[in-house]
Amino acid sequence: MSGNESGKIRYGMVIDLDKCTGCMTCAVACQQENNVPFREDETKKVRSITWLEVFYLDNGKPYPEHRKAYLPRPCLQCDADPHPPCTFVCPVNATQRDEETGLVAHIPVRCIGCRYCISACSYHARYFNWWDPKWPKAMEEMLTPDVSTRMRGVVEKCTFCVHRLQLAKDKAFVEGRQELEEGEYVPACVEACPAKAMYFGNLADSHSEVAKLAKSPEAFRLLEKLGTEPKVIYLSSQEWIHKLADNVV
Amino acid sequence: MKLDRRAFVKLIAGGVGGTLLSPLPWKMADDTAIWSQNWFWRPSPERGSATLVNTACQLCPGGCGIRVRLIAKKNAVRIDGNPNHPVNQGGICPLGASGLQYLYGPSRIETPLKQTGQRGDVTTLKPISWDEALDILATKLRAMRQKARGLVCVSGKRQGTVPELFARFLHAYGSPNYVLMPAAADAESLGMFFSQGQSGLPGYDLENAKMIISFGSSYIEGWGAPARMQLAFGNWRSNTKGNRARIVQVETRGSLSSSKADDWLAVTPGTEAALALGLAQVIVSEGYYDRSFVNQYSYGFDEFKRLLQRNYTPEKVAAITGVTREKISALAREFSQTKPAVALSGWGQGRMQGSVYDFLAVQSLNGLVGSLNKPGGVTKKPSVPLAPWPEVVLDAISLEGEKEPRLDVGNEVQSSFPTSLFYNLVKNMNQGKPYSTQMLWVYEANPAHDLADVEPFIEALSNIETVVSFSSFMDETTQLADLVLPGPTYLERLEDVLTPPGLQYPVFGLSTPVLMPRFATIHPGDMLIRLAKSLGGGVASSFPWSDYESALKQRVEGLAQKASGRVADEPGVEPWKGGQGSKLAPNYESFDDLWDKLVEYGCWFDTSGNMPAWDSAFKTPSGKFEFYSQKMRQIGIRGNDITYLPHFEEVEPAGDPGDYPLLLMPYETLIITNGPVANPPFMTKMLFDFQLKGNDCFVDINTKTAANLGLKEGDRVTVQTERGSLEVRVHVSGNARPDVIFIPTGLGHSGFDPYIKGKGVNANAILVAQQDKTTGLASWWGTRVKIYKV
Repeated sequence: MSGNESGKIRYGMVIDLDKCTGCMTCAVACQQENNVPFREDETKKVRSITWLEVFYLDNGKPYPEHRKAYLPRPCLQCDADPHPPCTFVCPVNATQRDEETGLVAHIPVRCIGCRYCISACSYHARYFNWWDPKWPKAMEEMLTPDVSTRMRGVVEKCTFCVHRLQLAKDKAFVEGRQELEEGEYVPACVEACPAKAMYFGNLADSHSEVAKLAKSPEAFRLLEKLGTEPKVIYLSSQEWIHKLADNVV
Repeated sequence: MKLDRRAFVKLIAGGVGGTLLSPLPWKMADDTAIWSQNWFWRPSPERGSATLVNTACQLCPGGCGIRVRLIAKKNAVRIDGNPNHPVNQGGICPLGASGLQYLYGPSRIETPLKQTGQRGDVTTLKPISWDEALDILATKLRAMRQKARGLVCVSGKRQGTVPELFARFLHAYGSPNYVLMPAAADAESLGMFFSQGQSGLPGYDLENAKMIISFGSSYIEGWGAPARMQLAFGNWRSNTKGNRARIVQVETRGSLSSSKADDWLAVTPGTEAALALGLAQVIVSEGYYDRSFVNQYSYGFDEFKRLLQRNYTPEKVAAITGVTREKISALAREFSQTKPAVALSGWGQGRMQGSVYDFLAVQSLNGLVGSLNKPGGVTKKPSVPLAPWPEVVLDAISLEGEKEPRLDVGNEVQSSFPTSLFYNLVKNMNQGKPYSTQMLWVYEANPAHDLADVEPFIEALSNIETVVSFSSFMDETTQLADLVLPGPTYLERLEDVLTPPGLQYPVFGLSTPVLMPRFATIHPGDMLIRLAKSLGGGVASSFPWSDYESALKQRVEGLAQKASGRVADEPGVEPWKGGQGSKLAPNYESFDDLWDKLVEYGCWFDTSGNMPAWDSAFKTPSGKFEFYSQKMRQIGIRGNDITYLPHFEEVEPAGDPGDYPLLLMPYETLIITNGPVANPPFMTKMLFDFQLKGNDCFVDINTKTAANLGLKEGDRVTVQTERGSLEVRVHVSGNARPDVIFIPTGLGHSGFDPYIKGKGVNANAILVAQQDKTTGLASWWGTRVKIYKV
């Protein structure tokens, strides 16, 4: 990204929960972009694969003081030093953080399915393939070639659409550029958000919109006290949402 | 036997040796290798270069511009928003983003089908050729031409050239029975007719509003044009742009629209309009109304004022709505002093017709604060300047047909309404009065599932000889059809997509085929042209085009002749920004140039700068906005003085309170679509497990009410109204008002594919739609219910 003094890149996301309408387009766009499989019954939520899950929050008060909000949760791409909880425990190096971008990658073909990373993740952001993915025959035509399909017995999770970073880098390379402009690489969820409640960019670049928003007094992160240093930052003017973020979820 | 140390070591060593000699470790290593390397059994998406094609979404009337990503020019792999399109600006809704699951979905109909056995038996719906199918239809139409009025066409799509072609076909054929599926637009167009003297629909300039009061509208959950509303909401909530607008939601349920508003007024069910009148009363009695509008451009203000003072004082309205007097007064003051401010109407997503007086009450509130036809207020949704087609050629039969009474008209005065009255149609089809229905066409609609109070419609079908479905999917209505003529899906066909509901500037979207039709389907427009030609006579002469494309192009020529308007060829356009009188310089030179650009960019639009001035806007007998409607009097509506004024009519929900002590209210959410298509797998997956669990859906019930009834989270219950009963589970929630049960609509499909079939129940089956005697409009926001454990 341009304007980055240190040259360091830390891709991160800001989600403005005041703007979020709970429409769940982000979650649908994610499934489409990443060939996330679906089954006839997806109501056993511990078995259901949703790279970007939408959590339901409410203030617990009775009618009519009751208020609710939806909280989209991609992989939070923890920036904890020296490593996020999930990568540390992987016995086969199937998941690692790319220190050039801060993206926590997971390579399903290398995964042996021990699910240690799932236990280590504080945010339920990792999912196990309990079954081989299966699409109705015709729907195989709508699978994107950018992301390979996974199989029974491996873990998968949100990658911040890292294949889009590859595409953006390739484009920049062809055009003879070294660095990407802000907005050239954006995950599918952020691009699809109709309320423009999601922002994406380089948190390490103090000029980027995400870096500015991250400094907002309304900003918070999930379970901050664990020290996982998530690179997904939420904004909300509602105190009850701030409180929930540090307790449950 | 004694196990000593030596024996134990031997046993372990033997076990290890044995295991190593057995195939087990090798088998496991092999499995690991297969699992981690060689995944031949899972699909490998085809590779190829990627292209983006612009088109328009047609899954709802929302009018979004979309981009389809194609691989190797044939596999569509993604739909996202078109950043150039003024309505959605690159955003999209969950349904739009799921569109490919319809294109490639398992419930697509591949060929024409003919019912060879009992109606309703899907196994006996047999494929036939197009020639045979159209021949069957033409033969039947020829045979019943003398009784042409017996042809009824139900359209779920309210505007565009294809619905117009259907209407045109019926007109030329000799039937007055082209009927639209019910919607809030029915009450809106009637309300516009009564108060402004012209048919038309409201267009809200929400992007410029500083304060919005929504009277029961699910403004971020599917009301109006859904993606546009999300975008507007994001802007209202913008921290950086300094234009944070104030949003007040008037609604019984603790919906997302309620929770996300700055203020939520949890009113007594069905009393939103009373609150609007309460606000009007405070504004009038405290003198905060727009004097120039009221004095010069309105009629009947004194009568309206008297009614307000008599019936809608804060005390009285507080008693009706449950909102405190102080709150009513404070909100009225704020609404009249914040400029510009606008009030929205249309219950839920706008699928319920509702009362015309509810619309009039809210519009009067907009009138009082001077928000009619002003930036940040509400105007008449502008029409798209399309060129007209040649007049329909009428022969002896169709001339007779014009004089026949419409089947959706229930009394004398309704014949002059600019509105379809669907529930009259259902009643008249059932009774065969004033004449019987021979043939029913269903286009872009699934009334056998989506119609609130659905049973009478399904019963009516048994009186109809032939039911024809034009659906691309095996929906519930198509299952009951005798002849199925599947059209291509919206991604495979050419069609216009006009200005969506509630928008304040004109938009012409062009949907173009992004890939070759997957099946041998025929475009409904082409089908009608072919059918008309085979019928000959006046019907054939009314369809002079060789194909649908030339019919569409003829209309688009109107845009080419217009001096203002642009094709959306760059991102970030804001047609509402220029102010009144603003124009856009066309970026096309000729019709051909315009057409090519429309195909490339998918959208033409103009500014909202043509709101009519107050002195010319109203076509009423007085030439003014009429609080007191002379139009109603003129067309023969009889009643007392209140009849002609906006007022609150208390509707008693159907059912005996003794037998059915609670109230059942349906609700709509963006994540469950309400037809004509069923929920796609992408969206169904996102339902919470307190909305759908296995095949059970949940009703929301208040914490206290649940405790009183001895119900706890997840309990299996029967909800029963006088129409019937459904089995559901209970979700205990603070969203729900005490003594009200909230049930989602859109589930409970018996058609479509295994990903949605049999999931949840169809709430429409037990709702009672109550018709207003004078207007024939129906409401179904509440039905009395009892609930008990299974």
